[in-house]
Amino acid sequence: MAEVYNWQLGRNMEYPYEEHHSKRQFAAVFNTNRCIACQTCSMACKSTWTFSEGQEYMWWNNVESKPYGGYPANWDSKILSQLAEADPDGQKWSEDGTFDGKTIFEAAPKNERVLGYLPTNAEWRTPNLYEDTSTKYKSSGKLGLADGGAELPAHKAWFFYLQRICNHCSYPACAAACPRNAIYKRPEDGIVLIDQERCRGYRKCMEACPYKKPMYNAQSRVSEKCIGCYPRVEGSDPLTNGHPMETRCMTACVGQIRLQGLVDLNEDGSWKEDRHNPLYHMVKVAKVALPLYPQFGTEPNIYYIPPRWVPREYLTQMFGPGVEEAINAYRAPSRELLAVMQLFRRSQEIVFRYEIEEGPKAYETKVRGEKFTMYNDTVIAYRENGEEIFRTEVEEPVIVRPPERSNAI
Amino acid sequence: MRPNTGLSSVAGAATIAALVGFVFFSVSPATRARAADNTRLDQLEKAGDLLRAHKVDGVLPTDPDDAKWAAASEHEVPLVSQFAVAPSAAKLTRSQISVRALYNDSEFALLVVAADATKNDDVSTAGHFADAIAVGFPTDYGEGIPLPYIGMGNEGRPVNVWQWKAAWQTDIDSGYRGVTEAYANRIPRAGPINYVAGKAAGSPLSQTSRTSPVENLVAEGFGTLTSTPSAKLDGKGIYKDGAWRVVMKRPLKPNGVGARIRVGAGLLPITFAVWDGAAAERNGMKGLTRWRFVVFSGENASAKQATPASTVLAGADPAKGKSLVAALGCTSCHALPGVASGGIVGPDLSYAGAIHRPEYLLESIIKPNAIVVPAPGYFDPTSGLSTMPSFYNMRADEDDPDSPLIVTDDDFRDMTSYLWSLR
Repeated sequence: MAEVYNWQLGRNMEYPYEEHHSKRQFAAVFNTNRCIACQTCSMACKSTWTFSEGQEYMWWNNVESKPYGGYPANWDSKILSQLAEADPDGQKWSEDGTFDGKTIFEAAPKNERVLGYLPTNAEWRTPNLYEDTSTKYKSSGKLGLADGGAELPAHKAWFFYLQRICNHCSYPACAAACPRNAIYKRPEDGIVLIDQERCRGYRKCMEACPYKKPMYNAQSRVSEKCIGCYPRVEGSDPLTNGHPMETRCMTACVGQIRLQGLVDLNEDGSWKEDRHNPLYHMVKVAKVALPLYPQFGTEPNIYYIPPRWVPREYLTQMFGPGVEEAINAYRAPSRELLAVMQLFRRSQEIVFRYEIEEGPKAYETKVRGEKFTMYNDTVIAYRENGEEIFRTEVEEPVIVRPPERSNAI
Repeated sequence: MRPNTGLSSVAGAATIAALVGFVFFSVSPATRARAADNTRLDQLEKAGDLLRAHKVDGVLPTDPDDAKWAAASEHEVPLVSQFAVAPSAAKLTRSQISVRALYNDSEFALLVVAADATKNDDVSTAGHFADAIAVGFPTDYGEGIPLPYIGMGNEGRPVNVWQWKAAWQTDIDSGYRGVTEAYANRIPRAGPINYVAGKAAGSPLSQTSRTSPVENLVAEGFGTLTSTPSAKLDGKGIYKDGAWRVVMKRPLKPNGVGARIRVGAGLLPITFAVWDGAAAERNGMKGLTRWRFVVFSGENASAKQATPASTVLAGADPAKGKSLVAALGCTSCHALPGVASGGIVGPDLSYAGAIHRPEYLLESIIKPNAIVVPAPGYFDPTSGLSTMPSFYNMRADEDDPDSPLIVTDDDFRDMTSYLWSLR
């Protein structure tokens, strides 16, 4: 195994291939706090990419209700328990944010390159079984409500929606496991693809990917996965006149929880300082968004703003250290972060850069005892070539219904 | 005391010398060559390294139950799990197949019988894997041409693989089994648009109509296996009484990319692999066997290209080899039966002789970098070199060229004979 640096773990780790990085990396931020699980993303993906024979069970994009829902069923608790078994009591983060446990590469048995399992057919069959099951709590009240109602910061009874696509990992487990080198990571944008001609349907990728995003197509007998809507990211969709466009699942988002883009990488894989790239700001400056199960070691590239109301222990297991910091950053956002978050879903085009024009103070309040001031700043989004895509204000404009339509409802 | 090994020992020493770059010249009269060939064939046969192909008149049978197969002698071939490189079986196991070979002036055919408790021919759901049987040949072979690394070959030494698939056999016998056939009660597809990416990309696995259950492939090292269609590669498999009976046949001269089968020009190196679908075996998870040699009966061909184990290891002492292996610390990385507790860094060598030929085993301990298996632990991805040390030409005092060798040539052959005995 080669030694590669994984910045999400704060250390070197083992990986079957030498360290190489793409010039840019496909990445996104998902705000779990705002998702309503309408599954518009799932349908947008399905109607675009997985509507054919053999793809009936495939959801390259899915939204599952945590803690119990999952597609395939129990995917995360299964791999977590495999890791716990391989490294009992060792799967921990140290104080400085370094992961001391074993990744799926380091915990692999000798006859495998990656620790994993092949989900059963039954597990693929249900996209969100147990979606309506809440966590257990003691209650003497009627209607099953917790005594004393909800308690903040974390609720006693809770669930939240987790939106999942392929993480287009920097160290993909699927590519590591493929004995045929049929899986590759594109140097231009880091999108991970399965070569449909080279794949021989061994399903080692399905077994290895901890997020379970490669899927076997029983009609073609080879495996497929989320392709990051690469024609859109390349800008070859006619809609945007050649300008890079976000994926179908991102742009279809009703709750406006998703923002996807491309981040520039240094040769060592670290993110190039790009102060005015919205993803760079959210992940590296505001630190409001965190990777999903970074301890797996694949360096996933979808970042999540953790749900505010969920017990921190659970969130730390899911998003690693930095959960409290991220929630604080989200609950009382900095002036800049608040402006950046207005960029979500105002356009289908990828925002490469933003500028902020300061506006007047909108109002003042207290958030958890601290003074919080909101300003009505204007944020301007730019294309790769510097042209403006759109501009929007922090305060949503108030539209007053004209008198002639006042009783239109 | 080491027995006096006479000429044979010279032959063994010549093997080592050839390995490390010295050239030996020897001249033999033609009559002696013929006698030598016969001795070689006898020795190969005794070691279980020879498969006799019988010549028959007329067309070679494609049907495993054809009466013509009775003419061919049956050879038992042991297989062990591929364990050199991940992915491999979790547990090392040994199994056995039987092989018969026929040929005529234009074709070559094999009948492989492999016991299998379950018939697995369905790949129409993500959790199902199908049985398969493969036969491999070096694409080039002959005197002075070293054999490729077992299984997938290695750089510069490609292999031609014929893989018969139970799933493809069922495609031919009863039609392609896609999702429509696998889920008979499903609601019919609405709408005319259907795009099967694998098929559109030309994957040989996705083709819904095929004429042969046998796929023609070439490989030149791990991860390089590539399908290359061969119109004339044919076969048929029947599952009966707890066993697959599979015929694979092809014209001697390939129609496309593949090994040329030269009857009357030496021996044909051959190897086999078997996958059990019930155990989710696919890719490197398979049963594999070492290179053997097909001899075409009735052809007066030279056997010079194959070196019998008894020549490579003449006079070598496996018991001494076993104690050397323990003394030199081989077990700190390798599992070896009955020698201390085996390490897990290097490949498990419990069946080393079932999967490798003695000349390869000898080469691998003298020159670990001759063929490097790119597996975690015993391969440095930066340098591309094996992590196994070699004691070749190492002296007790490295500054004194007259000090004794730590491991002598005889020691190497003793160790090889021990590894070869693990079958």
